[in-house]
Amino acid sequence: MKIIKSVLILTALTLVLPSLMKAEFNEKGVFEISSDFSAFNSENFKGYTKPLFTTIGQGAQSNLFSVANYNDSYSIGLDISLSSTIIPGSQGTYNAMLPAAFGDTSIMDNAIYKNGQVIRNISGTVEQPTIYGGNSNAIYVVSPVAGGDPADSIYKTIGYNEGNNISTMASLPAIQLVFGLPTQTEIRFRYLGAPIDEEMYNHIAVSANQQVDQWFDLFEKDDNMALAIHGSYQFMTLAETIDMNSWAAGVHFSKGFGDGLSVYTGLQLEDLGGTFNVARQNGYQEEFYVNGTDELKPSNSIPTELQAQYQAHLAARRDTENSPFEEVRLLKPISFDIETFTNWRFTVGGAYEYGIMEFHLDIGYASQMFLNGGLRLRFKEWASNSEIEN
Amino acid sequence: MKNIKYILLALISTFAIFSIQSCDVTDVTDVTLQLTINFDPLFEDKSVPDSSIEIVNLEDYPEYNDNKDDIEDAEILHFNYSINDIKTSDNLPIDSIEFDRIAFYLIPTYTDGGNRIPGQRYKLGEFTDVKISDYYKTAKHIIEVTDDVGELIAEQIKETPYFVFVTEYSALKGENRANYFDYIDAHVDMVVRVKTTE
Repeated sequence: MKIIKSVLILTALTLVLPSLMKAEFNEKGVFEISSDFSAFNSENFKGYTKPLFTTIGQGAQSNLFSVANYNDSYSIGLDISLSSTIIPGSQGTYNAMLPAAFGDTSIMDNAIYKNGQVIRNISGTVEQPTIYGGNSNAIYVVSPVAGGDPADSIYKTIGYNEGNNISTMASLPAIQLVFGLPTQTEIRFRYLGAPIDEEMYNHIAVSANQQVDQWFDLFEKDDNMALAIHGSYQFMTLAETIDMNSWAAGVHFSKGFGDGLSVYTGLQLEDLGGTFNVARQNGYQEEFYVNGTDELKPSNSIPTELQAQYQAHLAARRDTENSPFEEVRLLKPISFDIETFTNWRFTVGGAYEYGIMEFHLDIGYASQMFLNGGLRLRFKEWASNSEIEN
Repeated sequence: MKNIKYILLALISTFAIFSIQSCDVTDVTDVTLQLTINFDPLFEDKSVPDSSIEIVNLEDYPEYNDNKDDIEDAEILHFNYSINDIKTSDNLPIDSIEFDRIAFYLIPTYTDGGNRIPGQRYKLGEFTDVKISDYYKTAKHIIEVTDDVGELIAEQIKETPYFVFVTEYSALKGENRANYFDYIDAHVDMVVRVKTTE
């Protein structure tokens, strides 16, 4: 479970301190896990962690804007914000994939014990908790049905990882450099780097806000209202294990009330994608198998320089030979396309400006509701030919 | 304007409370597995009523070995009982073998001066009016273990990898039965929740 914990930390990289990470990378730069990770195949790990990636994605695309009124001057500043998300109940479970023969009563008999009820011979998928969910439900298997020794069967009782009963989650702390331009444009940059083992985790983000209402004379100056569009692109990488990218685009509006007080709202389209890839220790190598099948080549056909790895692979397979998942039995890598539940978000909030400081706080409606708050400091502002005093 | 100030104040307060109550990464990375252990209690060359005793060694399970130093909590959740094979001395057909009752017990053990002493016997559950044909290679006979007994294993697992499981068979139903078994080859799958910490 130490390894599982490390992988979960890996997936939560944007939330953790590097010192918590106990990662080991192989020579190809892929994070490597040992055979005690056998409860998961790729599909199920993807379902188990999808809400976590959603939190990461939402955190990354939070705090892109506050008040839509951007000065027509140069400026430089810093914005620091934190956010928390509320995890909806629907993201507490996912449909876990069952081994292929489950439900085939000519091969096996199975039953799941759930909420005090016994449900027989389930097949396809079964609802199990995500990382944010609650208890899992093991599936009892007796096989083979028609004679033979059950000990010979790969279809044995299987358990699933439980969730952690999490309903609120702190998300990505964002520290951004903010640059204003006379075109009523604002550019934001953020970078988070963390050394993990001998590899480097990098998160780089750039976003831009452009006030547009003045182009169409939408508001009178006395209205103290502004309309702007915004966009963001971010990527997060860790050697050959994590390669994520995220984008967002939207529109936001604000109204000021004097005395530094403003309210703002925004609508945003966003997505998070990429690949996640970890190798199992002494795992699958194409060179050990006949033409990509699950048939092992004989030892004498393996080149001398690969013999040690081949023998280590054979030994590791003994620990997983009873898994009903072929991917686990063959020690193939856990690899999947990263997905998120969130595509749209609606934000509403308020800001208070005092001197060089602006406090901002907003609440967002998305697949995971969130609260985001922070402080923006405008260190220096100057027009194209003169400095502006704050 | 006053209203907006109040709204902002409310939002700030909510955010503060919300942030304090939010989980951090240590919660996300807690790992709770449902470890499935299986064993085959063998009742051999004896008459019923009597019991079979199975000592399960959790060190046979890689998941236990990899994490035994970090186990924070463990609990038996439930188990399934089935029959793989059975033979009476008078070769009764399976369809006609019926027990009044099959009961299951856990016996914790304690260390005393280097010796392992069996403790009190705790009942995990029972089946009554057991027609063996219903229990033959089937996954449907599941017993949920009550919390108080299930939690016993937490201390047990921390102290020893050995797990003592007793299957108690009553006399056979019906008259003029030999009650003698060459063997009852049973199978138990047990689900144990294991939580680790580092």
